[in-house]
Amino acid sequence: MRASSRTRSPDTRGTGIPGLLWVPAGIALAFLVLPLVALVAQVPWGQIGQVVEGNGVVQSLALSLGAGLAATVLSVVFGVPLAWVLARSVEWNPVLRRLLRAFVTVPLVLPPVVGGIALVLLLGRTGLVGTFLRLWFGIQIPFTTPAVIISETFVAMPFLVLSVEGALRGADRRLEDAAETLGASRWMIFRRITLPLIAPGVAAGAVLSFARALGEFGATITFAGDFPGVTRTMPIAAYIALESDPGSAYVIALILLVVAVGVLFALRDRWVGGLTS
Amino acid sequence: MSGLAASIEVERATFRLSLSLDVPAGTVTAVAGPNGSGKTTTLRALAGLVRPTSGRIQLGDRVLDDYDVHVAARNRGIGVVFQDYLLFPHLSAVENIAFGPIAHGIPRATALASAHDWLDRFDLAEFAATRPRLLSGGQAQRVALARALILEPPLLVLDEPLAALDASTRGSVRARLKDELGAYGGSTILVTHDPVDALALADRLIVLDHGEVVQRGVPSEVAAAPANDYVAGLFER
Repeated sequence: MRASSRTRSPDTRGTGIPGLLWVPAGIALAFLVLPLVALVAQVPWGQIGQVVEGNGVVQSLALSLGAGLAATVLSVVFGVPLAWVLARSVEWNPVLRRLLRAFVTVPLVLPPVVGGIALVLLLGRTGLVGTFLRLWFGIQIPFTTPAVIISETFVAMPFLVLSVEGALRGADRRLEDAAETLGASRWMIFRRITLPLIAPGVAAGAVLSFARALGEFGATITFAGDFPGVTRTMPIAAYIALESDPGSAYVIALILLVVAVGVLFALRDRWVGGLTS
Repeated sequence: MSGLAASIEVERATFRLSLSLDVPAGTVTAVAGPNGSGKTTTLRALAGLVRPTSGRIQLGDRVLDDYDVHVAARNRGIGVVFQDYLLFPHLSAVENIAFGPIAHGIPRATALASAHDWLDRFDLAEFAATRPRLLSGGQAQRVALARALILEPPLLVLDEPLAALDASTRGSVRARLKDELGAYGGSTILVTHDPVDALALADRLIVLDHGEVVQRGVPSEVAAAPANDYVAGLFER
């Protein structure tokens, strides 16, 4: 008996999963997959061309991609330095680091509508900063395309910061010592050594930020509203169309789904294959 | 005078290093001792990565550390071959070697040409475009050595340069390192836990334990007349 169990191949050894667990596991998987199947099944495939041409779908798509890209660029430009401070702050002060980390993480768990309201209270017509922008410079941000970009950056940047921070903490700091003994300035070390080492983390964070920005709805509609061509991004267009023209809502949803799958594909090694730091 | 003259004191909450070093140009001094003996702190202090609590480090006519002086690591011009070599993984062998000259403002093409010369000299020409992870331990060590020596440092510090190698190649790499150190005209400090390295490569040996010098002298004499059981144990293998 023992001999036979030793020679069994791993395939026939069984999975070790109790039979009872198959049922909830199957329900969970169906719950995740079936809505997408329903979406793909119900899309009026024959009318995709018409829908995309009319109803401002192209306009919304262009706005979504442009604003999403702008939000991603802002997240990288400001988020990488913030991640750097975050990763290194543990050396000066652990309390400061925990505080910083909490601030960075809040937008991840905050309902986006709350983020939108907070942005209104900061940058709105009578907001904390918005009042002065209006009175001193005549600048009004709410209900403009910049408002869309700001909303998306608010929700997307934390993904980038946390991804880059993980990469920074995984990078071997002794390489920076080596560069320093070779005469490199701090800026050169950052640009030539540290940044290339964390490039995969920056790329993954940027793709995640872009995906999050593209799907942004709550903060955007609260802070930027729904103006075709100005603030009507794809998710908002889909939501609005659902009442008047469900077919085009389905098509827009399908486009967003395709983009999401594309993002997953871009991240397949880092994300699907297990989250690496 | 030329060479290194240093007295280094580093105080930490639970640790105190106290050491004086005199390494004339053209000679090799090995610093041996167990983990936690202060070898790494000595290296970091010489490289300028740690500022001594007190003491004085002078290299030739140049004072690098004193009570009112601290030359930053990047301005010291000291060559360091780190443990595990720490080659930059995203740069090719030749780019690793050219990094120092480029950091010093030498035009990229000139720096790369001179890095190629070093590769030739170390019989590594065919690996110019190779990334560090594809190099053998001995090759990586020579790239790290070339990366340090290309700046013509008056002091070269080697941190466990043979520890990352497997036993079958260690002997030949050690022999080669001896030749290369022989051709180098500056002061060399070799940090090692292996007394065989000290016997083979060094003119002088300093044995550290708990941040204090236990014994110093010519390696073979230290081996023949160890000052205490710990030093004797080092050579019993």
